[in-house]
Amino acid sequence: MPYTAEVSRANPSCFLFLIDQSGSMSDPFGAGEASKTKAQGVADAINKLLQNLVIKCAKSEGVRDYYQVGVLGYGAQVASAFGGQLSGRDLVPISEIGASPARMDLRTKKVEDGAGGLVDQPIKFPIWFEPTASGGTPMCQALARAKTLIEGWLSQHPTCFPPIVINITDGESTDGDPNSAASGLRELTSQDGNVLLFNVHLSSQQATPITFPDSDVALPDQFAKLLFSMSSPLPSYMRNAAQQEGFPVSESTRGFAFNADVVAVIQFLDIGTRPSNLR
Amino acid sequence: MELYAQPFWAPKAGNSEVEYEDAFYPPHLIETKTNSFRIAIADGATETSFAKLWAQLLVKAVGKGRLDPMCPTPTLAQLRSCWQRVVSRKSLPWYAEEKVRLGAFSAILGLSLSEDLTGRNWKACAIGDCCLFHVRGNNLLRSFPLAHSSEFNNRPHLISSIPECAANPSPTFSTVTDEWCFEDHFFMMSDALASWFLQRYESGDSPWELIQNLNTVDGPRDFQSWIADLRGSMLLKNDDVTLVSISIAQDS
Repeated sequence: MPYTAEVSRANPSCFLFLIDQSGSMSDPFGAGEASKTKAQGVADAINKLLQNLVIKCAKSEGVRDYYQVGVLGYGAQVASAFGGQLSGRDLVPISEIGASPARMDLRTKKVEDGAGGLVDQPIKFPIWFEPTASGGTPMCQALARAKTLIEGWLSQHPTCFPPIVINITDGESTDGDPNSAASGLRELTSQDGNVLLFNVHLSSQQATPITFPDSDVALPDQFAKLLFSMSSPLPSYMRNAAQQEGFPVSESTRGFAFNADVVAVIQFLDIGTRPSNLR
Repeated sequence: MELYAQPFWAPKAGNSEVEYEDAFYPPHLIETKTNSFRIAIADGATETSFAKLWAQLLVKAVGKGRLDPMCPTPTLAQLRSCWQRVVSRKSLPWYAEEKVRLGAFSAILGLSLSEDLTGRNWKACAIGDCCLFHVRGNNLLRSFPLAHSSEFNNRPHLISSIPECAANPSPTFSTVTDEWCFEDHFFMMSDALASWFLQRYESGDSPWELIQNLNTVDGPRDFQSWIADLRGSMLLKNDDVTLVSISIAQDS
């Protein structure tokens, strides 16, 4: 049965994020978040996700290398988007990511005070990835680069839980139709199943967010429909996780979100990174 | 009663023995004449940090009778303080600090056996998916708290090491009481082996026969290779495994 391989230090898996850094990412982010640009929203989401992954893999003795993670930006160039010590690196073991944030922000979080109220608690928020917005949207090049990286990974880890590639973009590819590059990526396989390609479409339209659709009927524009068609169907364990989070799902449900706000993007990413077989 | 209780354990394949995060108490083989006896096992959750410490604190409290399952809050508060004190002793990197804030989680199962003027009774309490099996002759009399292999999943109820709050309300123990007879057997197992046990039982086998054969001098070594075989045959989930095999005989 596919998508059941154990994720362990001996048999790690990988995540690769493709981040649209084109000039249009400096536009406001969907409805209700006009003060934040799409680039800022995505940077927050990726940093939060990397933080969640490091915490998930942390044990009392340190961070266990269950995953390697890459963040590939595409805009003025297609290149690793890590900052600080990890700058220029492609797939990086999660323990190194945990040890090497580019900087640490101090933020506050509301927590229960034990007497029915809430208090502010200071929380360290690590930053690996800064918002960037310039140039075109070379999505085909980004998908091709992703394919090269994942092919290399699979040749070294043929029995791994299939790599998950998450593409976050505001839509229009400027270097051609990305369909065949996406299809080439999805066709790569480990012995446990095909590579999963998920897409998050960030639109400036004031349209209702759509998460995990099972058809493109309700999607408002051709870019959203294109990204939906490029997305992998959710494997059954992810459908179950999505269902438990309250999303209606069917066997045709795809790993796609449209016009999702930052919180929804993080929720989407969390579901996509919650394998039930972590050991 | 003459009581014989032998613990067996194995870490996940690929993990070292120090990475084993289940716990059991008493922490060694027991062969004794007694009128009452308590024993506990716990299964610390893999995704949490310092879960082994939390599981050890829980089994010791339950195994020593310090935790009342009908009123667990006061003892849990003490155990949580102890866990917090130990994990806060050294300066931690940012991710470990956050992990401590999220707490450790564990399943727990306790069994007490007694023989007095009221009769020969046993009581068990549990939160989560560690299971107790009561076997008499060739019959499984009771499976507690789960009764069917389909009830195992990746989201069992667990006890958290963080203080009680709206998001972490006081846990509710399942409890059961019944009577025992001489020559009865009890088996306490963490979830992976308990799931295997119930699957075998549901397919018409008597899985306790295999386990009873482990009660020998070579038992622990036999157990390790038996578990490796089950994992190799994909019959057992790769998880920490704990088994306590208990038999009761009449005083000689």
